[in-house]
Amino acid sequence: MTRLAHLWDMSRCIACMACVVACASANFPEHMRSTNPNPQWNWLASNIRVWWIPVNGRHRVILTQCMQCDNAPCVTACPTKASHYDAETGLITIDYKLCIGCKACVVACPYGARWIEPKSHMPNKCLATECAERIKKGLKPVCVTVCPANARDFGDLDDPESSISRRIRGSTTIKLREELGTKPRNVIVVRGG
Amino acid sequence: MRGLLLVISIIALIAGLALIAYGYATKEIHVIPWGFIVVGYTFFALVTVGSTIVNSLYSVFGYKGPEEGLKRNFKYGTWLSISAIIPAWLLILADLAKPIEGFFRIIMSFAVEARIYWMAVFYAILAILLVIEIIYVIRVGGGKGSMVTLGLAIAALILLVDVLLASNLAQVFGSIIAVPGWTGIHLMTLFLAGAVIIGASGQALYLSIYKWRDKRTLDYATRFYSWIFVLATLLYIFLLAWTILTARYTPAWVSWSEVVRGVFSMGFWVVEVLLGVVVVLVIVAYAMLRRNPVALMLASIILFVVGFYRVYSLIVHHQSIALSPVGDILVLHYTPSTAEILMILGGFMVFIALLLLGTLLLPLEHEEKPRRLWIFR
Repeated sequence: MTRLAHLWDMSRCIACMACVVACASANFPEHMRSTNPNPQWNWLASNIRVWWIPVNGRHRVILTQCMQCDNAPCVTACPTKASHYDAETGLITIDYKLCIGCKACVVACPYGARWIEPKSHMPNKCLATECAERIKKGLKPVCVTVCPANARDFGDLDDPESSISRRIRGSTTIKLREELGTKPRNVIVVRGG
Repeated sequence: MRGLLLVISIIALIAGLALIAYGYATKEIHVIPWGFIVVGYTFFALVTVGSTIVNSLYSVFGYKGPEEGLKRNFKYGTWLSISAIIPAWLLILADLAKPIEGFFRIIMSFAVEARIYWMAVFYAILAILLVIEIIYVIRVGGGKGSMVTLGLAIAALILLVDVLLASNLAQVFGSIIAVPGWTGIHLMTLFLAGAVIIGASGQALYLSIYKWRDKRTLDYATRFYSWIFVLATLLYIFLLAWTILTARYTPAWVSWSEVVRGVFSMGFWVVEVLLGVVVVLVIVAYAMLRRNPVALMLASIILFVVGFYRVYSLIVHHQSIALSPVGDILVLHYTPSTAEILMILGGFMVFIALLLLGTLLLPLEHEEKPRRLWIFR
């Protein structure tokens, strides 16, 4: 099985938010005119979350999304097996036919990567429907495609020839909150190669 | 009078259900995923657990209480447990996006790693056992020989499922690493001790109001529940203090420090410590020394309200102060919405209405023979 993951290069990111808007417009177009599409994050209906971290009086932007953990708390917490590893892609996926909207996955995620859709009260996460379809067609998620600074990538960590593996090899990278034992796959590049 | 009370309780039941349904239809999304509705659900679940644990002192361990009061009022306690578990279910189902299919989906999924899966299993077993128990005690009463053994077996099973349920409910929160203030075993101990306090205060209040003219029952209630309040309150505060002490130098301190000396400290010191411990112990001491049922009722009301606040604090405050994915402290401002408040109000109305209906319709008095409902004949 492949181990698909996202890469976000914070040394290249210019914080233009194109990825955030692309995610929202591609995956949640019905929310684009809403005044409060994501009350939980007080943000756009996007699976990419923005954290403003104060550093020496200024703010540094950190972008997060589902970390595609190998030991995912959201999968363990789900009482109906709606949150599961997709047999084909290995990505953590929500089966909305099984999901009952108990929000256990939302509480369980230490990355705050899930949000509740205000009308259906069902959880959302990266990758959403449109991006999942793109992956099946061999395309990259919309956030990767639209990034003007080439700060994003997506691919198979187990394939040494994939673009994401090559970028990881040539860079200094970190993973968020590894101490929790969640084994996140997503990688953040802190210094490019 | 009885007919009027019956009509009032049916109207209260319908109104409570309507409030929960209205709240469900108009509920909103908040900055924290588990808010006021989950607090209400947990509170009622703990009332059931606590009331059943208190009852088990007689049904499992054979302690009859002062003046044999626990034995004589055993059925009232069982009915209180049943009356509380129903609003607990209604509230948690109303918190789901798909309440109708929710319970069955959980049961059928066999997601044994998920703590919530076991909640559904334990609830189903406990509900069946409580109904069996109340039918058994109404039909058989004290019983003889093998019937006594059967009664003991039912009661022991109830106690076992009860403790498992409360422990598992605590671990629904305790196994969530995203909220460091919850993580660990301490929630289980706090839930069990807290359940005894609110379950006992519910029983004390119920009996004191319903049997206001029965001096023997009031005397029993004042002596028995006062001791439970003292012991359970001291145990709870000891466990809470230990939880806070051991949280130091762990990620849990992020939220516990706010509870003890930060934004939530006023509630902690005034409600949980001053009101829930100091004031209650003074009132209970007065109730014990003077055999004063009014003082017992006052202590029961305070403990019931403080119990609700304790559940609120444990669930809401620790979600409000958490760690972001990059290790920063995340401060979320949560206020219950009107829909959520109405749902909790509905839960309390259902609880009181069921309590009243059972009291009016069921033969809950000691050795009272069933006359009205065919199932008990």
